[in-house]
Amino acid sequence: MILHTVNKSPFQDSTLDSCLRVAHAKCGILLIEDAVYAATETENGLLTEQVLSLHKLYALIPDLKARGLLEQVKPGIELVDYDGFVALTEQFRTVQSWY
Amino acid sequence: MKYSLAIYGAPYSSQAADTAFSFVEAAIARGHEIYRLFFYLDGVHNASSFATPPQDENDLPARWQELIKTQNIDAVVCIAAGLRRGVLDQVEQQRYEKTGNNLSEGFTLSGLGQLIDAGTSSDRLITFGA
Amino acid sequence: MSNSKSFLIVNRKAPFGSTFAKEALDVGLIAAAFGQQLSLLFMDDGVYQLLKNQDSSDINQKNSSQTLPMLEMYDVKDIYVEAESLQARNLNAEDLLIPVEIIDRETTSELLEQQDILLNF
Repeated sequence: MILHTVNKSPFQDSTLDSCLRVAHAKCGILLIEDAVYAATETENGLLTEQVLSLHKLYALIPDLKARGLLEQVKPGIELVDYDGFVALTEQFRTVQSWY
Repeated sequence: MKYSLAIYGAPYSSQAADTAFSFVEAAIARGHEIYRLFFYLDGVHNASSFATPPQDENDLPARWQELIKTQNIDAVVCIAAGLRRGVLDQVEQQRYEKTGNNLSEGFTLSGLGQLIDAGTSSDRLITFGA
Repeated sequence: MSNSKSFLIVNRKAPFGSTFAKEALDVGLIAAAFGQQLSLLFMDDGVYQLLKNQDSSDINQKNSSQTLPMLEMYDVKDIYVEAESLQARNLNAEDLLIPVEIIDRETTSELLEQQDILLNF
């Protein structure tokens, strides 16, 4: 299984949307950098209940903290630090970087 | 495991190179080997010794240089991407009769074959793009 | 150099507005020259890299699309284009410069999962 990393805000462009379109069920998706904005509750947010049930979603703590979002992450998204990021890359076979 | 990173973002232009740096530190702390760091596209600017950020800012090029030295990491800058963007070593400076060279100590200029080799020789090759 | 791993280059960016298209193709040609098992995927704006009739002479840039036919010379035949990316841009196979296999989202998903090494541009 692939670990997908996404680094763009879902409001900036369609990077996250493209990832979700071709991400396999049960793959991992890690939101880093500006993509952590997708981890919050927003109107017409891309990370629906269905998406959260299909894939394993993660968000990077230092990026959430920098952006003042630590208390605003939706349920169903696991928070990881850089050590956790590396641990995820050990678990998943390859990494697909969306940027 | 053996990790290689492909780094495509310049310092200060995006967060990519910073994220890559933090990843490398964490991977080393978890006991992994860094097989190669390959700097391509705008990532070549991480290897410039001329970067002079204000003292109260993160000096990422200097931190890369220190990390590469203390961890004995193979840090390769794609020569074509480097030349195009003005990152040269002394050999290329002389070859092209330029006024200076700026490749930081510990980095080497080499070809894209090193990226391919990083892929075939590592357990994980991870891209950090801008 | 080991020959046993599969490489996939994923192209998502349009040509000319950035250097991703050109610099990704350079990687592809090196991988092919080194005898690696290589496929290419074009999706999102990356499909624009394959359009016929590109002429960059007035913007002072090299036209990478002219290099695409070299892939076949290096025996790189597994070139995939994601169908929805084409459809969204009102394009079809006849608009493209080289022969490609157009694949749906499920097949694209499988293609990504099968690879040993993913190179993302």
